[in-house]
Amino acid sequence: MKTTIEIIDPTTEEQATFKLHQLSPTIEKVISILNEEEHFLIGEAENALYKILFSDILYIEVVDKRSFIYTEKQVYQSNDKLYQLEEKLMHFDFIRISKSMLLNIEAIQAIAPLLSGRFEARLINEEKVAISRKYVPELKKGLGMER
Amino acid sequence: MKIINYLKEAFRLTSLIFTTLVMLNLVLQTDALTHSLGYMLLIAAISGSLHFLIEDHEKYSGQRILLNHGIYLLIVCLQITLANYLLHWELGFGGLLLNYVIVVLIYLFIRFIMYNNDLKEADKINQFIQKRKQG
Repeated sequence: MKTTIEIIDPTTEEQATFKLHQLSPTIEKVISILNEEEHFLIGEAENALYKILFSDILYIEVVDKRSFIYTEKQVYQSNDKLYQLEEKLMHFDFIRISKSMLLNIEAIQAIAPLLSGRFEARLINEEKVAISRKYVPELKKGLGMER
Repeated sequence: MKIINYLKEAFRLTSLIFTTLVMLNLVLQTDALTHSLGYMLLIAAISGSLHFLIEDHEKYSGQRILLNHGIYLLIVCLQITLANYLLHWELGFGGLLLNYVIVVLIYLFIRFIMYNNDLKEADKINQFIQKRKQG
């Protein structure tokens, strides 16, 4: 696709125009990223609320019906349900890897199979999380291996 | 829909176990085939319907899943022992032991094939992850 970038005056409002034959999932993803002004979640840790950038999140896990957001340095609690978080993050390289976990694809270092039949993802902080067998197609789709 | 899917999987497993049992007993003793086909089908149907034991419901740890697989194999072996006693197959200690060993070997063979396929799949995914990181 031909792309044109024009640097404009700081006082003029920024805008993006697409000339397309049809909308593709990639373009929809780009549009959703452009429309979303702030890419962060709100999480609580040590009785304080924090903005957590999507890119800082390694994974999100539900334990005892409470959602926890894991970053490299800190674990935050969220008031949102997992499906609500999934809806917010679906266009930002997050995928479901089990009933109780969302994983940031960008945080994966490598995948390995386990004898139990599950897969295991080694993350950039060397932590390991289990991927349920039935979510492997979703992982491949998220990586762009399957359309 | 869940029940239908469960029954489909149970039927698939029943067919697999039944075929294996018939093949096994064809080698061990031909009489068993004529007298005990019904019981073999029953063993296969019970084992097939218990496949919830070997499914990953995401509730258990990896070790617990492997323990469940062990329990499943034990149930299959117990049924063979019961059949030997009730239907007078007269397999003897050696014959029973051979049955158990073959059941375990078939299980290990299936796991080995699955693990190898998973290794190949993981390898493909890892190559893609590396390409994605470089790109």
